[in-house]
Amino acid sequence: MIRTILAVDDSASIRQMVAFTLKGAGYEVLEATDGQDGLDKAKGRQVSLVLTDQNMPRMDGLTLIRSLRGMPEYRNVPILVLTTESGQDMKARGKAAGATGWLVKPFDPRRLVDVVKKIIG
Amino acid sequence: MESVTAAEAKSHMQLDRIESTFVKHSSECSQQLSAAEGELGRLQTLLDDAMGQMAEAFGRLAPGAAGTDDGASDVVVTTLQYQDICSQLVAHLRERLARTGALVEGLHIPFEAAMAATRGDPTTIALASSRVNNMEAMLADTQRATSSGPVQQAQVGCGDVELF
Repeated sequence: MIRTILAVDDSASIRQMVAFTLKGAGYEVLEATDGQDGLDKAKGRQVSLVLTDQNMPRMDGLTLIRSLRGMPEYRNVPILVLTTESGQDMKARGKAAGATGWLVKPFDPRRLVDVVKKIIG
Repeated sequence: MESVTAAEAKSHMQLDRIESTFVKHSSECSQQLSAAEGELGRLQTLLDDAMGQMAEAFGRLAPGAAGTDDGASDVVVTTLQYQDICSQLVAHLRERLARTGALVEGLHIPFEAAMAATRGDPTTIALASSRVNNMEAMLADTQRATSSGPVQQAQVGCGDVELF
């Protein structure tokens, strides 16, 4: 069964790079342009992992995580934050919101695939 | 008596010159900051266009590039991400410039108050004094908004991974 990853980022180039990397590793990638779009697309779908940016218009990454964690079907779905933010305070806030991990941009394609495989196989 | 009047007239002329010089300089600062903000906007557009074209070309090459062992596609994937990183940095710079411009524009308020005090104009002093309170709030807001940028990267390289 092909696993679906929801990639949420307001940057089209980042979404393109994430999709290229993860599709190349055999995953299906569902793209969303911001937190609100990500939340809308997550509803009613079976997603294996969510990869989200932090700073986005309409709804940021941490708000998205809190919203998803409030949905029973996303309580245990791994959520990775992929962001330029690297401060310990932001990471702590991400962890408190329910993030599974924190990746600082730019991501190393092979390392991203390794992390995703480690989490969802 | 005449000599006092002449001294006052000279003093007023000097104050007028100080005021006009201050207004001219603060106006020039605002215009320079506004121009810099506009130039950064053009830089952003150029960067977006260039990287967009590169990403589009990469998209056409991508199916054949996936999984190549030489790591070339990895380098492209990493490099193209700098469009987003540079965009955030430019946006933060523009925000900083716009807020600094607004602060510079507000500098004339306490200056006007000082000038009014010198001339003994209580109405202008009271008006400027109330507007100074708004300036304090604007300054605090600017310091809070620009205290730390979203981008810490200083060179091209991949970021850390931390699993909780």
